[in-house]
Amino acid sequence: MHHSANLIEQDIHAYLDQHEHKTLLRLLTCGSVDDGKSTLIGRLLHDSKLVYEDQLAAIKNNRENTQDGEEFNLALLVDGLQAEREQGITIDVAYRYFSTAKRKFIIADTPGHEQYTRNMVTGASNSALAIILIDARKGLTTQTKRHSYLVSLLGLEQVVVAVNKMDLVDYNKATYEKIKSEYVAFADQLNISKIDFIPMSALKGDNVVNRSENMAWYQGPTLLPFLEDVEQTIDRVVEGFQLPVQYVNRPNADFRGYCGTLNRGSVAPGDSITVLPSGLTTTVERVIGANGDVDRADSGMAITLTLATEIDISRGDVLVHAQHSFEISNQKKLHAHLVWMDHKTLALDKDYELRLGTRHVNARIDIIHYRVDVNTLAQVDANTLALNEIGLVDVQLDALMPIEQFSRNKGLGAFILIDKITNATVAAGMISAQQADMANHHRSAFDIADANKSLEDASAKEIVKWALAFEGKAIVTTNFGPQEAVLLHMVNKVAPDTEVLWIDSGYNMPQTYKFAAAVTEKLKLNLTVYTPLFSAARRDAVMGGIPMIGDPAHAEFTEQFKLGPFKRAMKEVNADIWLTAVRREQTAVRQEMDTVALGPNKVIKVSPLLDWTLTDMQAYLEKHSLPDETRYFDPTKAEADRECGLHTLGD
Amino acid sequence: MIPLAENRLSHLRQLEAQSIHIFREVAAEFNNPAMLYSIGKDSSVMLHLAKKAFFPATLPFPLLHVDTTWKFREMIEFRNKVAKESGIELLTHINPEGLEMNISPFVHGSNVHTDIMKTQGLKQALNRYGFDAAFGGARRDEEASRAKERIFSFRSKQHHWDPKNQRPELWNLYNARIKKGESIRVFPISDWTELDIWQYIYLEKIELVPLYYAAPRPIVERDGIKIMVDDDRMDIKPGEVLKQQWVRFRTLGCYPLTGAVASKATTVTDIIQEMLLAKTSERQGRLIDSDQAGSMEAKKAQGYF
Repeated sequence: MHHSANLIEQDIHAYLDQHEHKTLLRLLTCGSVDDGKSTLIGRLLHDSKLVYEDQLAAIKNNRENTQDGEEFNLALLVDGLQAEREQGITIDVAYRYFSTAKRKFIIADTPGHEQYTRNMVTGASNSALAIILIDARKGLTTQTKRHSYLVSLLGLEQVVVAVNKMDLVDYNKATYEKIKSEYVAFADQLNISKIDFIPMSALKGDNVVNRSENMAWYQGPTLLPFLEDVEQTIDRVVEGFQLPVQYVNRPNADFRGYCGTLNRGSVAPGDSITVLPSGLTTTVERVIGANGDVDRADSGMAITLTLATEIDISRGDVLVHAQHSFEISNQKKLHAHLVWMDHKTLALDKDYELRLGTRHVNARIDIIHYRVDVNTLAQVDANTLALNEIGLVDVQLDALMPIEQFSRNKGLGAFILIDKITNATVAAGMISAQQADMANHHRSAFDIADANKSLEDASAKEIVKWALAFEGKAIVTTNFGPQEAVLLHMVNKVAPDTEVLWIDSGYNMPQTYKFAAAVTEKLKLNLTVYTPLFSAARRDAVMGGIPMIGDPAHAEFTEQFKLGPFKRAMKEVNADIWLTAVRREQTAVRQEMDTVALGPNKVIKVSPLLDWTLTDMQAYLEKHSLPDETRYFDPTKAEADRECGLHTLGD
Repeated sequence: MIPLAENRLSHLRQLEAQSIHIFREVAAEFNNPAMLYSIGKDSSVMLHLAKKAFFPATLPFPLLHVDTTWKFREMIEFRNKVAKESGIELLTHINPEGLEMNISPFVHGSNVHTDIMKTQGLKQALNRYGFDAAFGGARRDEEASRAKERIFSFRSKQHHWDPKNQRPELWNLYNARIKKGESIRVFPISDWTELDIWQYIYLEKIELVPLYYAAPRPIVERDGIKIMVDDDRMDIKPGEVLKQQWVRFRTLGCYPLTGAVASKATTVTDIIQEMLLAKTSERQGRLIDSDQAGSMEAKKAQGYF
C-alpha cells in the first residue's frame, strides 16, 4: 500500500497536483559493510510503504544473512547484482528511488569497503547531501573519517550523521553525545557547511521514519522528515548565468540555436552575454525551454538560446552574462585535487583527455604537490597516484579553458580525465582554491613570468579577456593614431564600460581630433581625456613651440606635454590593469617587450597586440568595418620609430 | 541567507532536463547514434523528450525497432503511425535466421525466443547499421541489476556488458570515447520511476498504444497469467477457455509472453490511481524475469537491453 493511499483513492487529481510540485533530493549513503547501510535504505523503503508484495515475498524466501531478531533481511531489498550478493557485499554504486508526499529521493548507495573510494566519489558527485553511518558501538572509525573527508572534498553541502545500532548500546544518550562531540571536533578540519546528528536503529526502525519510543531524550526530527524538509542550494537565487554550449542546433539557414543546461543563474531575452574563451559579446534573442519560448530560464533547465548577432560559437564554449564574465578565467594550467580511479597509476607528462563542462582538451599532469592520506588527512610526498589515491596536482592544458573554483561552481570546476589509449575514465578532478586565487589575479600575489608563460599561445582576444578578468580596475590607453580602433574594439567587445584614457598633448593634427570623435561615437567609448597643465597655445606663445629632437628642451617638452599628464592620469585613475596597443614591429624597444609587464604605480601592463603586424591590424579593421586615420603626428616622438618614453617608464 | 528561487524546478522538470541533456550530449559526441524504439510507454516518453531536445529541428538519429514478429498487432499499428510523422526515420529489423527457423515462444519457449528474436536480432541490427550509440528506455527502478547501470553504458565489440568493469560516471561528464566496433548504450530515463513516467504522460498528454488502457479483450488464463489471444498462432489448449475480460497491460512485449492485469482503468489518471494502490511491482507481468533470480543480469551480460 502506498503512503498516500487515502488521497489517491479519494482524489487522484489532488494527489497528482501534489506530486507534480515535488522537489528532488539526491543523496549519498556512506558507511561500512557492517554499519547497516543497506538495512537503513531497506528500512526507508519498507517503512515509507514503497515495497511491493512480490519484492517482499522474494526476500522473505531468502533467509540468508538474516540478523538476529529480523523477520527478513532488509538489506536484500537493496543489494543488487547476483555476483555481489554471493560475496555478501555491495561493490558498486547503485541508485535507489523513493518518494514521499513532499519529495522524490534518489539515493546513491555506495560501499564502505576499503578499496572503493572510487565508487563513493562517483556517488557523491551528483549528491547534495550525505548520510554518514556510524555504528554506535564503535564510534568514529578510520572509515568514518575517510568518508567525511571525501564528502567534504566533493563539495557536498550537508551531512547527516546517523548514529546507528543504538539498540545495541541500550539506547544510551551518553554514548550518542560522546560520538557527536567527537565528530564535531574532527569535522572542524573539513569543509562541510552543515552537520546534523540523528540517533537511530535501522534494524528496529527507531527514528528512521517513525519516532523511537526508546529514545525519548532525543527531540530532533527523525531521518525521513528531516530529508523531506532540508533546503538545497540548487533552489537558491544566484546572479549571473552560465551555459556551457553542448550542441549547436542548425536545422536550416534561419535558425541557429545554442543548446545546453544552465549551470547556474537565470537568463532572459535581451541579456548581454559574453562568449568564453573568445570574449565575443552579443545579446540573447530567444530563450527556448523544454516547452517552447520562455521569458526567463533558471538554473538546471536544459535550454536553447538564439542570439541577436551571428558570431562564432561552438560546443565547448561557455555563454555568460557580460557583467559577470570576469568571475570566470581562461586558464591553461589547473591546480586541482585528483581522485585516481584506474588500476594503471598516474603517469606524469602523459597525454590524457580532460573533460570539463562541455569542453575537452589534451592535458598533462606536470606536478604532484602531495598525496593525501585519506585515513589521517596527512599530506605525503608522491611520485604518482594509484587507484583510490587522492592528490593535489598541477594540470597543463593544450588550450585555454574557462574555469572556476570547484567550491564556487561545480559546473566549471569539476573535470574527468580519460586515458586516451584504453578510454577508461581514470580520474575525477576538482579545481582547488589556490587556482581560483591565481585566476582572480590580485596584483599582490601575481607572477609576471608565470603569466607570460601561460599566455604564450594565447590569441590577442584571449589576452584581452584574460586581462579584463582581473579583480580590479582596467583601463586601455590610446593616442587615436593609426589602427587605434583595433584594441579599443576588442576591449569593448569584452567589457564595453572599460575606461579609455587619452593623453591629448594639444599638439595633435585636426584629423586626429576628428578621428577621436568618430571612434568615440562609434564604439561608445567611456573616454577620459587628460591634457597638459600648460596649454599648447601658451607654450607656442611664450616658449617657442616644439623644440627639435636633440635640443635639451625636447625632453622637458615631452615631460610637460605627455609624460607629466600621463603620470598624473595613471595616479588619479589608479588602475590595476593597463591595456596598450603597442606592437613589436614598431620600434626596437618594443621588440624586447613582454605581453605582461609591470608599469608605473605597479600597474600590470598588458599588450595583447604585441605580435600583430600592420597587415594583421588592417585586416582586423576591415573585418569589423572600423574607421581608421593614418595621418598622425606626435611631436614628443617626432619620428615613427622613436619612443617618447611612456612605454619605458619603470614601476 | 540567499532567498529561495520562486520557480525552482519540480522533480519532473529536473528529470526532463537531465534527459534532454543526455540526448544532446550523444548527438554532439557520436557519429551514428540510434534510438531503440520498443513502442512501449517508456519509448514513447523517450521519443517525446528527444523531440524536445532538438526542437525546432527533427531528430538527428533514426529509431530502430527490433521486431520479433510476435508483438501485439496494435503495437505495430502504433509504430507505423509514429513512423509516418514528419522527421521520423524508422528502421525495423527481424532476425532472418529466426524467421527461417519459424521461432515461436509457444514452441521454443520464452528463453530461446527472446534470445534469438530479441537479443540476437538486436545485435544483428546494431552491426548492420554500425551504430556507435544506442538509446534505450531502461530505468534503474525496474529491476535490481539495472540499479547499477551507467547512463553511458559501455559495450564490447561483441555487445557484452561487464558489470564489474564499468566506467565511473561523475557529475554530468560522460565518457563517450570508444574504439571502432565498440558502442555505448545510453539510458536517458535512468532516473525516472514508473510513477514519474505515468505522471509525465499525464502532464504532457503523450499518446500511447491503446493496450495500456483497459478494454474487454480475448483472454486465456495460462499458468496463472492472462494471455491475450492476438492472432490464430496461439492454440487454445484443452481445458482453457477463451473469454472476453476487462484487462490492460502494464508493460508491452511479445503477446504470448506478456501478462495482462484485470482492470477497468481507461484513462491515465485511472491507471496512476490503480498503480499506486497496487501491491505488486511492474515487471511481474513479464515472463522472462521469473525464470530464475538474477535472470535479467544474465541476459544483460549477453547483450539483451
